[in-house]
Amino acid sequence: MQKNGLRVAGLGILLALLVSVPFFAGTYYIHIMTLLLINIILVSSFRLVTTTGGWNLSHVPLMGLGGYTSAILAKSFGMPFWVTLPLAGLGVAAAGLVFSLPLRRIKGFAFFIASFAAGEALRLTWTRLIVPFGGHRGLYFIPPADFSPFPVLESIDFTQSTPYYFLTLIVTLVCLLIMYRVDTSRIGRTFKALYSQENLSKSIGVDIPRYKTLAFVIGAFFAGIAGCLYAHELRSIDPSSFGFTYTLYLLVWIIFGGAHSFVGPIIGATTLTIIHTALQEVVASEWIPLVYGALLVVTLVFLHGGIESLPERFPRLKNLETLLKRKPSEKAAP
Amino acid sequence: MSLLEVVNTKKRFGNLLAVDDVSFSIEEGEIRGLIGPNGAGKTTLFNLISGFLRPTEGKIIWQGKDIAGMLPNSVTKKGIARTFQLTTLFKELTTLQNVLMGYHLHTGTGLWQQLIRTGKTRKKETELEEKAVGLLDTLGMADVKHTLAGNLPQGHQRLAGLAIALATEPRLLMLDEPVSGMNPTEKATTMEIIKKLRNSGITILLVEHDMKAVMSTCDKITVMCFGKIIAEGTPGEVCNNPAVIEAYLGSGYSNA
Repeated sequence: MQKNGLRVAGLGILLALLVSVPFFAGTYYIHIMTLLLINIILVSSFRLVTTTGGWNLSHVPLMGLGGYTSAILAKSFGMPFWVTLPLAGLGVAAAGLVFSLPLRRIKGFAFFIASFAAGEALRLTWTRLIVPFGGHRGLYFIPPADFSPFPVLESIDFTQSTPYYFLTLIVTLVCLLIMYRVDTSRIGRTFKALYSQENLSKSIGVDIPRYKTLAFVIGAFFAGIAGCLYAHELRSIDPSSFGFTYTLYLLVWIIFGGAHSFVGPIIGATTLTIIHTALQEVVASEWIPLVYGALLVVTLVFLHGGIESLPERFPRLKNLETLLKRKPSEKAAP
Repeated sequence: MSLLEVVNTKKRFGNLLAVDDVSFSIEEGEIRGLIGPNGAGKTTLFNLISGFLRPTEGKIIWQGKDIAGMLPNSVTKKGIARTFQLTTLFKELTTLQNVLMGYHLHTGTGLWQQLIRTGKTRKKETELEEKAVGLLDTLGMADVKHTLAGNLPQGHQRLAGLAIALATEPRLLMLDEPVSGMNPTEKATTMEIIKKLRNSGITILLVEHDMKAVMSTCDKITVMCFGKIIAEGTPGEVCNNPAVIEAYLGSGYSNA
């Protein structure tokens, strides 16, 4: 009960902090925060696929597909945001289904290569097809989020960074809640089971290909949502926005934070965004990838398992945790 | 009609015929032992029946239907469960969670059911948990139900593997060396459990090297050597079969 109480309090403080961001931060930092929230959806959905074993290198292109879907629907068909957002998710989920049919048969290193190739193929179609994707130049003048015909929401100007930040915050929280639910449900446990004990899972009747596809499709759905939010924040997208550099950042976030727990990747993305933003103030931006590279090497050599593995590595930290959870009266006891 | 009938089944790995034209059948309600020297093809035969391997030739008839080449999860669905020679558990889950995973085929695992978690889904989950606790109780593992499976002592790990297989609610239970790594007391208890399971209506096929355990438990024994069946009969018959003695001890002893 106490543990739960502490958790609720922690989440409450975090939420209050997130809500208060626009009241003390400038436009630039609100923009950074919006992108961070989008990246949190991205990295969490990426992790969901990794629980079945594969590191899907087509995740960022799939996110891009969500962006393109929403942008085209809004721009060419005048659809409001509340329609294009779920359609972007569903469209990418359908693409994810197609991707997973061959990919679910492959394991390990071959999966990296094949998923990377699938993602690049997707990106190439955007560069090749001027209609409807705009070729290399991509799509611009993407309409801002539009909530017509809802009376109050309709009048909000989502070109402003603060309203869009709150919109992103709400969508992010809903997405994380659903993904957390999947992760802790029987389905999430089955994902991890089929990865850790493939033969045992088969022997208890788990249809492994079906579950791999399910994970891939759910992951793709949320990547699509992230892409849609991204497109309406930047208001212009092109194939290079979803290139391999973005995938590399995603990989560094998840390796740095750890992929074992639900919060690991979120912590990774957040910490590195903070480091990134802080570094931009002091060094030229060309140096930043070098810092990422160094952090990646240091994490892999000295902290395999990422930040989330810290409490396990340093029992003192864990003691601190239990000390905090204990009642004051117990603290006095030896 | 036999419960399970293996008809002229062969499995070839390159030049090696691991299972060479094997035919035998298991009747409902029996405890069948499958023995033989190392490399005789017992585990391969196990894998052929449970769907982990596809036979090169032959039929595997389950309740009148050929199931040869069916995938393992479908075979389990038909009512055949198996355990593994090397202890295979979800080590990062507790004993109880392991058994609950075993109920995979008996739960509502649909995405919406799991996301919305209606009262019905919750009720079903509580029911399964009660069932799982009951199952662990009968195996004498009630007090370790919240221990991580990876931390259980060897004997308990073997039993936990058995519990997972039982959770699939099989008609035929195939056990691959169920008492290996157990001490004599644990062995005796496990063999008692196997007899009880048979009495509750589950047919059992077991591969085992512990002769004492096999002889005292099985109704009938099938002996394999170099991929072929060389003898079949009651424990007494098999013990005195010259071909069996030769297979185990080498030629020259059968006349001794």
